[in-house]
Amino acid sequence: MKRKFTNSLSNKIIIVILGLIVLTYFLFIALPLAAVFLRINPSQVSSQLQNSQIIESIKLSLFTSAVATLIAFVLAVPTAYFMATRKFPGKAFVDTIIDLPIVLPPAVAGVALLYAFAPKGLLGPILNSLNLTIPGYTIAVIIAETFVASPFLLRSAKTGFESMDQDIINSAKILTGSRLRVFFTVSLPLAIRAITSGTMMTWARAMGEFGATLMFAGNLPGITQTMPLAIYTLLYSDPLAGVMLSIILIVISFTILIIIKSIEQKRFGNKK
Amino acid sequence: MFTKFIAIASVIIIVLASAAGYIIYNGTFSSNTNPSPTPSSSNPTTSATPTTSPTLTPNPKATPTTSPTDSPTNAPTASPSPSPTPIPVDLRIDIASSLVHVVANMTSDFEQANNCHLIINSDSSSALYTQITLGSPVDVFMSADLKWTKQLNSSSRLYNNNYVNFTTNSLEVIIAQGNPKDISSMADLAKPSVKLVLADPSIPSGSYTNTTCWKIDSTWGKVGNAAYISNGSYVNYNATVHQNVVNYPLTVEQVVGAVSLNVGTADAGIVFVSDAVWGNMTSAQVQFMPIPSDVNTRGTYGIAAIGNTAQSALAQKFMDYWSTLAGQTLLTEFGFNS
Repeated sequence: MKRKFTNSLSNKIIIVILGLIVLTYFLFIALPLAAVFLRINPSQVSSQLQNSQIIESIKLSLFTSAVATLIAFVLAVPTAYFMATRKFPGKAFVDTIIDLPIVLPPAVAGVALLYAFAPKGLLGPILNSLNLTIPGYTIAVIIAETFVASPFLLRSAKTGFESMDQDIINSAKILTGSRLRVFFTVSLPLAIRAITSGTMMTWARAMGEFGATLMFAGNLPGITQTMPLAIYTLLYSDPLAGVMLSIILIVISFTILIIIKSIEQKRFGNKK
Repeated sequence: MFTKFIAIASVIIIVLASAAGYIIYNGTFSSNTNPSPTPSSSNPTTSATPTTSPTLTPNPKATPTTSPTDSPTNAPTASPSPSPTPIPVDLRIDIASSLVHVVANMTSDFEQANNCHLIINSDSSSALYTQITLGSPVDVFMSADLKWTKQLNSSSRLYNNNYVNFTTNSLEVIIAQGNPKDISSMADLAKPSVKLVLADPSIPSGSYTNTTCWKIDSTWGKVGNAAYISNGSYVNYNATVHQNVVNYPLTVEQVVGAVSLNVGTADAGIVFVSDAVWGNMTSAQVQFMPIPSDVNTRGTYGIAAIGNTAQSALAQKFMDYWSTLAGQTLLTEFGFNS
């Protein structure tokens, strides 16, 4: 009887402690975000949205992140399918290399891209013969964003393809000889949720890309100055504009996370 | 079994790495952790002078535990302070990025002479200004534009409302290794296909650069001017030259870096004369080209102790150094005062 009482008491204490940890953690994340919102009052929003540097950076970010996501989709989904369904020598190595940008510091990505794509870089002679200059132009932003963000889609899609029921795939392969048809009618629909949430992830990451873009593409309003770079530039000359852009990015990130969460919930069902 | 081993091994590696990192790391983790005297007791003379000190400075009367008459050595509670070699105090110094090399040159001498440790943080003056207004703990601020120092003074963030314009710096053109675009005059910077790197206008070097481009535009670019007759390419100079810009970095160091990197991303840029002098001192691969004085822009540097400094005497000493003959000679040697 006594033992039961102490047990339930210690359980309660543990729950209280856990609750306090959760609260601390929540505030640790939420307070800084709230601090950004508290820096601006609603009447200043409309005037800030007329700032041409803000508008240009928003347009540029939307454009580059959309193109980067599209390229990532075209490259990463087939690669993910291949990696999930085929075995080949050196697969682990290839897998690790293409996943690397997820953990690679963006500054390193910037240096690497610079030494690869700059006019005097590794691919410089080829690019020069095509009369193509990359750093300092919008294409550099797209390359940086694709480099840094595409592995998120790759990983997610790979998990999606890996968790397919192989019996279904095999049955489909028996029913129709066409591998392409099986891919589009069976595999892709089975993995579509994983691919969608991966695409959203990639888009969000591309939107937030900062380090690699700054080092590789440079900081040129309207050409390479995406929203994160504009925040960095404006915060010291026009703090309110920096705050405004931060708020826009917080809202976008929040929305994307909610969409991803709702997709995942449907994918795994409502666990209770 | 194997995964268990991996998990345990990785935990051990992380713990060991953290421990090693902690042992190796000897910087300051957060705010001042050593039991240094309270700010009010740092300098006995400050209470005597009628300072219009900012609100951030703790009032001696507000702390009832320590008497306002205590000396710097009289630290609160039992501490081993009267030892022959006291622990060096930290002095936090925010410097404009153009001052990095000249400050680095005097750091160790100053540290030894004053038994202190200088924590030097460099960035653009505008970034440092914003950080200071948000309350970052700084003892001395060295700005590449007196404007920021004055602005801190007008919002009463400076110690004793005191600041000194201790040096000046002008502009010079930096040209990439081998001078790929044959740049030999200011007009060449506006040639099509030149990839130019200019500092962002929000930072001092960028605003000086803008001024210089405007000066060229409004003097050499005007009909009747001697330069106009000899060379018509200065018409609309400011707009034309800005069309060539491929990057607006946020410190002058980054402008130097972008042109020095030698990967073909930049042909030229505009930096400080001090950067050119440093480049020649270190026999850098880049070239430099002077900008004629009639269109050059000279920026005035400001130094000040920040109002909530806990080391006002030391901060004052650091400030004073730059006005001494030694300080001025060093600055001139590094290309300032030009």
